[in-house]
Amino acid sequence: MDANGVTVAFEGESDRGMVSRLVQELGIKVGISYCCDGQPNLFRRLPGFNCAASRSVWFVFTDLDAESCAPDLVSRVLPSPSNGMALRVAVRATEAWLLADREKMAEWLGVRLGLVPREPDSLDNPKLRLVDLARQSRHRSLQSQLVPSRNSGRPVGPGYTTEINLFAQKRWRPNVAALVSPSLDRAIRSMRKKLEDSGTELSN
Amino acid sequence: MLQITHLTLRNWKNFGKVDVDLQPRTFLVGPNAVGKSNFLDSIRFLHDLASVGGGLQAAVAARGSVGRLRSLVARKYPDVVIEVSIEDREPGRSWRYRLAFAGSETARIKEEEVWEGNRKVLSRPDNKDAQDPERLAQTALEQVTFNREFREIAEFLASVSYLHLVPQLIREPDRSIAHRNDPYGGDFLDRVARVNKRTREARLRRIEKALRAAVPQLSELRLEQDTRGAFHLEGRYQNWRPYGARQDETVFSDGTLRLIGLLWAIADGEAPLLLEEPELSLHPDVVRQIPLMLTRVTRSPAGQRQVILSTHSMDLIDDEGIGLDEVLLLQPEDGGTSVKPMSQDSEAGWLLQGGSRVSEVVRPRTRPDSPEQIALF
Repeated sequence: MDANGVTVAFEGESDRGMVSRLVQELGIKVGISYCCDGQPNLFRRLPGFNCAASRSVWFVFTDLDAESCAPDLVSRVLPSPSNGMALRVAVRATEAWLLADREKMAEWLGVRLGLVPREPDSLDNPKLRLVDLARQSRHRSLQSQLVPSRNSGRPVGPGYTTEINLFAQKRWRPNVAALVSPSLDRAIRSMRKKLEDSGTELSN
Repeated sequence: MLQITHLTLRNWKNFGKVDVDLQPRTFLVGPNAVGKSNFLDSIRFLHDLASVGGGLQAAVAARGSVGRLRSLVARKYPDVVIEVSIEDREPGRSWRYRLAFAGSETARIKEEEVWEGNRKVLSRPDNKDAQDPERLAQTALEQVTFNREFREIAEFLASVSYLHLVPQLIREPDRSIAHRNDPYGGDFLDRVARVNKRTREARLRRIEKALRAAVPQLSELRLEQDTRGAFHLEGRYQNWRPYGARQDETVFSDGTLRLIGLLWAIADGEAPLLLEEPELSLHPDVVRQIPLMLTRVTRSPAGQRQVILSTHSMDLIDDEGIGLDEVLLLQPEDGGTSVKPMSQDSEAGWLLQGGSRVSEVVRPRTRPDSPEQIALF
């Protein structure tokens, strides 16, 4: 699928919009995408991804979650990465990268800019924070999509996946977000370098 | 036992070119509307050619016209071609049948050939066809007077069966279109009734036993005839009354009826069985057993019965015994849908060795471009 785009793998459906926008930022598009249904499944399949990445470029995205530091995590789960492999860790979750475009996030959620965290990489649980922000949203219908009902037992609302993917694809600006999130900035640089090394043409 | 070991298609429906090996168990996977049913239909077409009351013109008419079954990608080479290799895997006997036809409303044969091993036993058009071009409206396969030398494969193709049960048609056969050999199950109970009593009862007992795993409350499955002569499938439901109550197919669940139909079809006959989404209405843990059951039940002293099925169920293809050569991936491409065994995808092999399951490799490859649009409806 090289000719048709770069191969990507990520943890869950709600990462899909972010991943595709990020790849688009590099001037290419997504080829095959492996949605892994959670981090344990992604790690289980990582040796195979790494093997395939000896022949083509792979962007794999995971969350740091409660781990202490990203380099430790990477060296533990992927001791010898192939040439084409870029395993990128969002600190602490991909929602931090989305929150990092603060203006667009505030505009989308309908909250004051001051409420959107200035250092999203330092949040313990960015997803929870995003949903909390949505509770203060001026937009009732968006709020009902993002915020769970009292007895749902889930961290997010019924339309969370759809809405977060729409935000990522239509509004989010990775280059602006990278100024606020160091882990996103490192991810973009590393992905760009992988593409350059592999000789894939970049449009910008 | 004879099997179809290779299928070649040109300009058949949404396929431009297909050239693919078929295994004793073959799983067709791909996005919606990519042509899984059309792939199976090419084999059904050969069945229709060879069966009683069938023939080329009837088979084409049943599908509209030549124009409607010719692929839209057909340009320079407008003929529709279907070619099958038929082999008895054990003693190594082999046949090859090739049919090329064109036309608009009615079909004209451009080429019809039969090989037995390396020996060509039929090659048309021949001299007689040149003298009487009307002959090119009929295949040799459908004519008993011509197919003597290869009647074995005519009979083989005629005995291929196809199943896509619609539970509502089993319950209300009056709704069905065909009252004989209806693949959607309109004549299912009559078909069960046509089998001689001993075989039927033995088979129903086996089905009941297998069924108990999925529908434990159902027992004593048997066929009964009502006062009007209509057949009914009856079983005892343990949970309805303390000692159970006999119920007939009108109250069986969709899943129960589909599973009964599937088990019956598998036990009925030796020629290849074509199945359309056998997973429908079934619990995923039941679905996971389908490939294992297919292997076990279709094996007899005469060899393995061939089963070719289409599926969207990732549970169905996840058994670790399913080989990559058994999974055919259908993907839309510019020149028509392509069909390739997963074993030709080297990346797939690595991913499996590196911890992925078959479904996890297949799923992204059969995913529509942006199914999330559906949520935005």
